[in-house]
Amino acid sequence: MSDHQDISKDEALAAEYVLRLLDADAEQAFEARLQAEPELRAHVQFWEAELATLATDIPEETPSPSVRAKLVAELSGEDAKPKRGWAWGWLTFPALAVVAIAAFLAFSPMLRGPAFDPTLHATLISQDGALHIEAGYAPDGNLFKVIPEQGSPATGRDFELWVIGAEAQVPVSLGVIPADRESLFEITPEIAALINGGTLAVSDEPEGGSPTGAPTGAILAIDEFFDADLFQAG
Amino acid sequence: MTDRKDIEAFIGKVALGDRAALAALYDATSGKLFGVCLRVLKNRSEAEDALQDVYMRIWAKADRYAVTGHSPMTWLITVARNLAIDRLRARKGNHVDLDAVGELVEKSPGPEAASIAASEQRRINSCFAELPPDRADAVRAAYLDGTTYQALADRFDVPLNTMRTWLRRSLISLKECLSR
Repeated sequence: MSDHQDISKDEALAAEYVLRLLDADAEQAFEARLQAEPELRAHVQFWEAELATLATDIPEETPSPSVRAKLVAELSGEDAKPKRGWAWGWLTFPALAVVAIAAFLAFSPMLRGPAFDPTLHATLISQDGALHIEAGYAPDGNLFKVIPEQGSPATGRDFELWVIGAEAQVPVSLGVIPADRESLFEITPEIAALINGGTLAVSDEPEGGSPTGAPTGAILAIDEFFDADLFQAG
Repeated sequence: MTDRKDIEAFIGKVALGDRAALAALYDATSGKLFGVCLRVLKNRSEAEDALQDVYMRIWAKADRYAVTGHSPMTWLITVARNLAIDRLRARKGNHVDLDAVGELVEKSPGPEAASIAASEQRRINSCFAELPPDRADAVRAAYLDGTTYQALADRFDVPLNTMRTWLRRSLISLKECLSR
């Protein structure tokens, strides 16, 4: 009888664990037991499988395309082996949209010169705020302008820009950018086609740029291209 | 339509470090997993951050998928829900989100009960139906919304220990029903 009660107790405990009803201490204690007790693991597996069917009723929702773009950028910045150093990655990208818009509003007159009329913008700001780069794209002439506002690469390193198309699997390099002055350059129609709906990223690379054609260093900042006109007064 | 075999194949390739397979897995499953995150976090931007964590976790752990013994969607949903709840619990001061509580109270037992009724074929639903309705709601809220014992006790206006006892008994009844 007491055996039966213990089994019921463990079954309920496993369910509470799966439901995330245990407090932190109890959760930790349970996880320690899990290591040693296959029966307990079987209970957990049972509840995970049964309760997951409750999620069948949750409607599908469409996330912003930026989630996918960030994910692709993130993975491309990794070593080919997936097991190394993934944890640094997503920490680098909390939503910086508010900061980005504020920075953009302050900055927009600069990109709106007579010779360069961008329709799409991106603002790259690293999580620690040490790096800030503004970029704009003008379809007239396929011109791309980069203004480094703040931050410079470490000695022997360069900043490299990447575009990730909304549907793309891999980032495409825009090349290494000077960190001490503005640059304006023409991009190919193929890259230009990725910009609308795409994402801009900057990575830390060896001097001269990534030797592999994909980001090899840390992705320092990332932003979706946004419509410059959205932020024009009136 | 992507079926179970496709998703399993994607996970297998992801385990080998195939980035395109992760993108394909994302395209096939992100709608559902985002729904799961959104249900827990009730905030699109937080749910999107959680969703990114989810796929990075899948990327890192895909090689362990096989040993979980789960169907692919069960595994993915479990990963998504756990990471969303981690985020929910890590919210500053672990405050009770009054909006979310309000939404929870309004929602139950209305639309939730209706959507369950539409899929009675599933075994778990018939077992839930054997529980007193408020207790079934409590178990569902714990799973789907990540509601804590304290929040459940507040919601059903019973002492914390009463809620614990209720819920544990309900879970044991569920287990008996599901094992029949």
